[in-house]
Amino acid sequence: MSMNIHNEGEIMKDLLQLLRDTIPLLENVRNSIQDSAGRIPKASDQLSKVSEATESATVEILDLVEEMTNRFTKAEERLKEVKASIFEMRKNVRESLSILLSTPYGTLAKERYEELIQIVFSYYNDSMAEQLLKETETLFTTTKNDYMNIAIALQVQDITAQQLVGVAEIINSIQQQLWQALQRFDQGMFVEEEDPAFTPTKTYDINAQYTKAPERQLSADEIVRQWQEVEKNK
Amino acid sequence: MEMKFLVDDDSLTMRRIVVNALKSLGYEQVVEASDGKEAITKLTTEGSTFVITDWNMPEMNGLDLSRWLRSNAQYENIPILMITTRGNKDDVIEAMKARVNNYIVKPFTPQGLKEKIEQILKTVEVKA
Repeated sequence: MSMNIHNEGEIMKDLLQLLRDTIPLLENVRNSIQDSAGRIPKASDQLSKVSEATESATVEILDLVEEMTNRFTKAEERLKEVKASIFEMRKNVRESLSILLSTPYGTLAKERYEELIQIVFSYYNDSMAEQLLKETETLFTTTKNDYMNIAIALQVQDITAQQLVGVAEIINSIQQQLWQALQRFDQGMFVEEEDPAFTPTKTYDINAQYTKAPERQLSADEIVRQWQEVEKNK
Repeated sequence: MEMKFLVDDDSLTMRRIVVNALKSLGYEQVVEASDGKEAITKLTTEGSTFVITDWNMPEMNGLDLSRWLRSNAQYENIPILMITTRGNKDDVIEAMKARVNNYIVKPFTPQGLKEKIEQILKTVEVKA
């Protein structure tokens, strides 16, 4: 019996030693969790700021693109006016010269008519003017299309913003779980609990993709087509 | 009758891009909203003959907006085009069940937008 008491005493001693050794370890674990939870920077806030900054910059770019497009539209209209006035002027010159032919100076004018026409129209040569106007119109159209393509490419901001919000929400969730783990720790409850439900605070699509590959749209088009076919046959 | 578009998206960037694309296609009359609830308010106060809506939006998403419009006699035939990042088959089917007229996966192109609008207008009687 004394042997049993002695053994039990040893066991108790070992248990107490274990507790003495474990408690500091648990304290370290607790501190580590607290440290980690606090150290994860306000990631969701940071990512929100990134989204806001990129949205702000994108809108600025869109403002510029719109402004430049408007300028080119005005230039196109002005070009049309210039074109019309050039043709009007040519018409007037021909008519004036024709009238001159019927005057007493007509004979002289007739001799110099062709020369006069050449001189005047050398500045307003039909084919040169046409070519120049055409090239300028093409330049305006191409540039406006390029501006539109810039605007379209800026959809990347919306798409990546949604991805960022999704990541921010996940980081938020991790932080919440760490803090809850801390609370359980402090309360001494080492019980396996289910993870808290992940509740996003903003709308987003974490699967949003910025890709110009046509497959996604083609796939959607096919589904829409099939759906409409079925509806039509109902 | 001249078309008047309602562009509904919680992203300011996307609204600007869609509006610019519409203007490049010759559609000048455009109203904007940032979620489904605001879209309904704008429809009531400013009117529209064509709705272009995103899916993911706060307050009321594009799907719920479509369902609301289809359940309302005044708007049951209004054309609805959804422009969204969601490209899964299930998403498209869900949108069609909510009776949107057509579907564009972001990023979109002005040509793609033009085609979808024209397709819808061919099949839908436009009411103010």
